[in-house]
Amino acid sequence: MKKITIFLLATVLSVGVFAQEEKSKLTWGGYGEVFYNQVEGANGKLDVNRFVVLMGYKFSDKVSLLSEIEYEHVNEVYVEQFYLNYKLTDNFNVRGGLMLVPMGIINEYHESPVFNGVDRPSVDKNIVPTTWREIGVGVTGKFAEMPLSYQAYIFNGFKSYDGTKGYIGGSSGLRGGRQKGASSTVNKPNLSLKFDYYGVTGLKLGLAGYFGRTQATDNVDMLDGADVGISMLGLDARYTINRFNARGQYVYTDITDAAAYNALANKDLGSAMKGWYLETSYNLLPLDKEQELHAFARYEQYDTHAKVDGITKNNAYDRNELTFGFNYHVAKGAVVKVDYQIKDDATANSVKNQFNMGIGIMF
Amino acid sequence: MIKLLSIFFYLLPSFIFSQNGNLPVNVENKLQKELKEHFSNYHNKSLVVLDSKTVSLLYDDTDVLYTLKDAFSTTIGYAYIGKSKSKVSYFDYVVIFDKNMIISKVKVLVYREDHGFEITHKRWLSQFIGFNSSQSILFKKDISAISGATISATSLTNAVNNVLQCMHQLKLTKVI
Repeated sequence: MKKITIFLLATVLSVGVFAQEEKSKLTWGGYGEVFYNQVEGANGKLDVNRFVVLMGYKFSDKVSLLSEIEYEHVNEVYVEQFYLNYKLTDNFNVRGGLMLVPMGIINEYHESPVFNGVDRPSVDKNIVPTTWREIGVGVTGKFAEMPLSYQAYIFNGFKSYDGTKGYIGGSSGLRGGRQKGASSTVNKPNLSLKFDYYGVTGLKLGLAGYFGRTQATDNVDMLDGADVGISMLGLDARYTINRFNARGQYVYTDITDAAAYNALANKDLGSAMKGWYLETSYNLLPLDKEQELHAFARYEQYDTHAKVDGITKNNAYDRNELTFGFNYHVAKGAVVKVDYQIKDDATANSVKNQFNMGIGIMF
Repeated sequence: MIKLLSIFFYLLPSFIFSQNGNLPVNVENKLQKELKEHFSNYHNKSLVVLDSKTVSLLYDDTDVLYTLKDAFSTTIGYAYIGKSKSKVSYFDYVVIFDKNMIISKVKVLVYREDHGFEITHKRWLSQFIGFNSSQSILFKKDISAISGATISATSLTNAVNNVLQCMHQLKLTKVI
């Protein structure tokens, strides 16, 4: 009897230990946001803008999976990230799968509590098509003993044309061309690079590049103008000291063969796009409080027709926005947001301003 | 005999994972390298037994504290090795104290994920140097935040605060 008791006890203990080990291999997380957008003089919009469930799994000390399943507007489902990471050394990883393209700040750091304002910055929507992700392979890591990290990937590119429809265009640039890893077509690889410097305490500087061509489907890829060349360059900076934060970024995109594409697909894609913003915020609550109340202001300017070739420049695409408001972090990872956006463009017409409220979470 | 063997095999994992001061090999190697670099006169270390009687504060079962000795067995400092959470994984860190219980170095021994690795940078970690066991550290004031590494930076700051409290308690109860 005694032996049986010991046996049972040992079993319970061992199972407990193994269960603990199993548990630490699997990580759950998530983020999401619910919006209320009120454009001046129009009906408001209420939206569960996104809810994302993150799942990570460690197959071994070296091999891990990161995945995110995203619901947008309640009923659109995406796999937002799904990649396998192989850690070869402390400073060097190889990874492959569906990954985020490192460009600017928000595309990689897009969880609601980590940026100010209900909506993501417009530059990170129309110039950098956040959330920009494609299937690819790459390496990441840091230079030993140096405060410098790198990422380098070969990604699938944007889809531009399929014989009936052009996916990229004037107003929102490359945004409509994102293939997001969904039965995507590929015939030309794209190179993506990012370097981040963090050697000055409180400061992070990023330099990103993206070079390649868009993809066209098999039936039309031989046509002149079915694909365009893209060179994108991004600079970003984030600074934080005590209760003060500042961030800014500048992104320039050069597009070749836009004239041929516009003629073929009947679109108004610019041959250069650029955008920048500058944002400052200040936490109004003392630092020893768990809660934080950030008052912020952001000025953005972006033009998806910075240059045009063979088409008329549309001044309505030369836009600017002043966004100001509050981000109230009621607990770490839970934020209530309220802001107002004053919008304008280079035409004589007035652009409607917008009021926004929202909640955001991340865990 | 078979029963005895099976008991042995069932119990084996519990022994392996119990707190006995044995660090995983990679953590131990990095710790040894760090201690030799940090103290020119470092000779060996001896385990301080942590239990709920000696430390009423919360600490993890896998945390390990060593008294560091020179060749004449004189105490030259302390090393507290713990684990803390990063975004989707955890990392191992060591807080090295001098013999007066003042932090002389904090180092991340093993960092396991891509997000938040900036906390492993020497200059950022040097902000912890000089705090003693009766102080507490305020994130964003004493230790600057790192954009894109908030979770790991907060996590390590909280962990070091816990270590300080733990050391303070051990000092009060004259365990060390």
